[in-house]
Amino acid sequence: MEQRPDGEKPYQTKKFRATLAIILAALAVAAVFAAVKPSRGEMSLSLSEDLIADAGDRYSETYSDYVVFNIIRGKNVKTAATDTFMGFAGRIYNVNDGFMTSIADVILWLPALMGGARITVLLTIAATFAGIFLSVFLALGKISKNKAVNKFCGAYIFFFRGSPLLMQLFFIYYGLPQISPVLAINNKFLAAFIAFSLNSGAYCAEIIRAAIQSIEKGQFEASSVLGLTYAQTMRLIIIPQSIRRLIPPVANEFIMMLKDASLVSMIALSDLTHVTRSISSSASSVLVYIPAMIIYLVITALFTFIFTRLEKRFSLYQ
Amino acid sequence: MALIRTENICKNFAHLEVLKDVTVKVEQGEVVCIIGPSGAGKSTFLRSLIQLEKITSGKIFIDEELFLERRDNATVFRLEHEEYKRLLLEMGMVFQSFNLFPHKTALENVMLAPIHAKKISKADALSIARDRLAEVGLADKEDQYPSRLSGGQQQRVAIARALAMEPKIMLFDEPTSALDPELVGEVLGVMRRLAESGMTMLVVTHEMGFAKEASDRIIFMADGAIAEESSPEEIFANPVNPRTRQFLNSIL
Repeated sequence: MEQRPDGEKPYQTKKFRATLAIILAALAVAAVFAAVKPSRGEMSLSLSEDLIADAGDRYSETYSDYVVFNIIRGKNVKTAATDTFMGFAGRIYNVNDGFMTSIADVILWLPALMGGARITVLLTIAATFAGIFLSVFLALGKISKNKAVNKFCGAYIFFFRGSPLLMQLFFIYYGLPQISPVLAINNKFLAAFIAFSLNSGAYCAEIIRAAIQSIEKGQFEASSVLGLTYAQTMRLIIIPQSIRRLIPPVANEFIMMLKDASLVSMIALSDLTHVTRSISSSASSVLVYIPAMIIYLVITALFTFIFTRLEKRFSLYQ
Repeated sequence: MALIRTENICKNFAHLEVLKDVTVKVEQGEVVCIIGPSGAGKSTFLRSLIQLEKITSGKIFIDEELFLERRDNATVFRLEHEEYKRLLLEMGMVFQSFNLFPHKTALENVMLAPIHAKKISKADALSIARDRLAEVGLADKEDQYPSRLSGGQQQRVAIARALAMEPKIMLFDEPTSALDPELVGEVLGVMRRLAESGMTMLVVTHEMGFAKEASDRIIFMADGAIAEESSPEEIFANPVNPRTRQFLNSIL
């Protein structure tokens, strides 16, 4: 039953292949550059021997994984100075001037920022998926003619959309253990995941309800006269048609969630925002906000791209 | 034997009386056309039969078996679930707006209900669906999505889809009203062939040519009630009711 109409599938078009090739090529180049960082020995060789001799017993060098080199030179404390080199992509740069120092700093911070970004993305994806799963039931409940189910789902959606996400997060992480130790969630990621899933469930439920109710009445009528049950009608006819209409608002919700995920820095879960703030305070520099925001933008752009593709993929029959 | 019989069906939307004491009998193998001005309750009657509308009062018999009885907007009698579903599926319906499932191909549209509502095997459903599509002349379009078919082709797929459930009677609710004039003929052709093959049909239509040639009996409805009922020759040659005469004059 996988036969499709004639014509190209959107994900097979030349434009899509070209875009994919560019992204893959960029990733490959970045991987190669990162791999070919100079060894410690090579970087030591690039230091002027005069400087080392000049430094005498005050000379020391540090070499970190982040390919930064420090030398303290000068015969006494007053004339002590640092000479910093950075190796990147197979080349060695002298980074003593302000601008290059900043670049070196940014590269130094990148691994920590990427670690934070990993948490942010994982949390967003996991919570959105769990939220969508939950919201299908909430939406069906809200449409349901059963009064109790309907009221319960309505109240749930009202509560989670009507109160701040930050308070929901605090309540789950700090509040629940005080009600009963049994409810304590010690894993910060898990607590954040639960709070975000419950919250996005409420938002997505409204999106799904609207999408289901936007399907023409004739689809329900045709299903009914063909003898399909309500569950079959939903599963086979209505929900598959809603999916394409769901993608743009769900993408929007996903991107909102990605940025709302910065709230978890308030329970000290090391997401991108939390990492950025701690780097900023320990290095007493606000420079770190620039790469952090660029990382947010890159993630957003990537997922916007994915959702646009998905939407085209599900528009096949139109 | 009457396949479908209704007794005094009434239907009110709030204070508006849409159907007033409609009593109709359709015999096995008969082709009955319902004509009349818009707002006469023709579609509502058809939709009431197949339970898309709740009647206010009246009785519906299918196969001479009481199927549903309602009085004052409350159900007095309704068959048990299994039996109810079985009799309901003796009716197939074709809509004015086709209502094909847009995310399924023509073949999948026809196969879906036999598989899920009748629980027959996929292989059997496939062969039934191919046969029905061939009957409406669309064997070569089975892999097309509805959006790639013309209105006439979509309506023929919809007829094939209804036929795949092997109904005893087909209800047509203005099947050609949403079509471009040049596409009307192909759908009427399929309906004519269906009538000749002995299918019992109840057709709400504005196609007077079809009503005249293909039907055994014509029911003229006006203001929610049956105004006149007779053979096509009678009704077109000497309509008795002044409302019928007025209506036929206005469209012929």
